[in-house]
Amino acid sequence: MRKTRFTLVGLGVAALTASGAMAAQAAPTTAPAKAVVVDSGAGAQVTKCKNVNRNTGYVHAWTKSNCQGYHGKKSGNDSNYSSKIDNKATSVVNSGYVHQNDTVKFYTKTKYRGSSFCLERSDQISKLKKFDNRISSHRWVNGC
Amino acid sequence: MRTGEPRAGRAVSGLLLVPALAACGAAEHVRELSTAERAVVRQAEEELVRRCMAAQGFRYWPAAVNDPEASRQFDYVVDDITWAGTYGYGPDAPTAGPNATYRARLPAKSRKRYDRALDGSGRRVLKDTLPTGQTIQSPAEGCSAHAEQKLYGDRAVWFHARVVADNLAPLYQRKVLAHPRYLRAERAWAACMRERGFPYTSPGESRDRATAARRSGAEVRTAVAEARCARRTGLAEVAKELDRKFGAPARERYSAEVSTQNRLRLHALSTARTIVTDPR
Repeated sequence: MRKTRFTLVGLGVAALTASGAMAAQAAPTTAPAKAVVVDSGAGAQVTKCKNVNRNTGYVHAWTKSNCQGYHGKKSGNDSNYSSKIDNKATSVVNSGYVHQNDTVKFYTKTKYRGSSFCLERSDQISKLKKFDNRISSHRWVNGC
Repeated sequence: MRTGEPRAGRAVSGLLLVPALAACGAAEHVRELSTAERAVVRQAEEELVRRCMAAQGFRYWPAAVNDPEASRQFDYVVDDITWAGTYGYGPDAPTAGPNATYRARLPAKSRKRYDRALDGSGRRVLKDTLPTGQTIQSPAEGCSAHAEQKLYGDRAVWFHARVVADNLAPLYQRKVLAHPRYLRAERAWAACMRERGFPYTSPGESRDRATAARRSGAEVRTAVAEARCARRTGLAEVAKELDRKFGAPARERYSAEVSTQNRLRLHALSTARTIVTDPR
C-alpha cells in the first residue's frame, strides 16, 4: 500500500492574529461583487499562513486557526487522516505543485465521503468554521 | 502525469487585449465552458506564468494538460462506463515535476525569489468569504495572480465569483447524502457492486480501495463496475435529481456569482485562444 497518513510534523504555539479586513459580501448588486485586496503593509495584520511555502507539493492542515497548532501535511491523496489531525483541522493551505489536478477537495468523512469543499492551489482558509474539526480525508482534483 | 515543456514560440500575439468587463450583478444564463475549453484556458494561464517567470529570470514548465477529459469530475458517483473503461478513476495526485526539481536546485536565496515571483510575498492578498462563512485568501501578487488577471480581467471579481460558485455544494450536499432515497439507492448500488466482487458500501470507498492498490487494471475494473451499478440501480440519477432539488435555492441565491464565473470564463477563453493554439 502506498498510502501514508496525514502526519504530525510540528507544533506551533505563536499567538493568533486577527484578520484585518472584512470580505466582500455576496449579495447581488449592480456592480459585480469582488474580493477585498488586503495589503499587510497598509496596516492590516497578516496571519502566519503567509509564511507557508507555496510550491512544495503539500496540502497543509493545522489544529488552530491562522495556521497555528499541530501541523500536518500531505503530498498525495489521504482517505483516512491520522488521529492527530482527523476531525481536528481548523486552518488549511494548498501549497501544491502546479498541475492539472492541483485543487484539493476536502471531505467530512473518511474515504472521500460526506460533505466536501474545495481549495485551489495557493489559496488558504485560516478558519474552517462550518468545517472546523470535521475534515477526515482529501484528494486532488481538477477544479470544482 | 506532468510532462510539461516550455512552449516558447507559441505566442500568436504579443499584445493581450483585456477589454473592460461587462460583468454585472444581474443573474442571467451564461453557458459553461466544456472540459476541452477549460483546458485551453488553463494552458494559456500556464503559458502566461511561463512568460512572467522568464521575464524575472526563471525557467518554468507549464503544467501539461495532455488529455483534459481524463480529469473529468463526478460529484457523487462515476456514471460514465466508457470514461471509466478508459481512465479508471482519473489521474493520480500531483507529483514533483520539472518545476519542483528546478526549484529544489536553486540556491536558497534564488529559491526565495522564485517563490516570490510565482506567488508573491504574502503581503498583498485577496480576501473573501465563502457561502459557508469561511474566510479564504489568495496571493494578489506574483505570476500566478498576474496570469489570472490577464485572462479574467478584474481578478478580485473573478476570485469572488470562483470561490463562491465553486463552493455551493457545502450548503446543501448533506441533505442529498442523508436523504432516504439516496441511502436506498446507495444500498442497492453496494449490493450490485458486491455481486461483482467489489464489497464496498459507497462510491468513496470503491475509489479509495481501487486507487490505493495502484494496479491500473483493477482500478479500471472497479471504476467500470461502479459506473454500471450507478446506472443499473439508479444511484446516479437519484443523486443528480436530489442535487438539483436541494441545490436550487443555493444556485438561485448565488446566481450572480455563478453567472459571473461563466461569463468571465468565456472572456478568458477568447483571450486564451490568442495565447495558445487550440488543440481541438
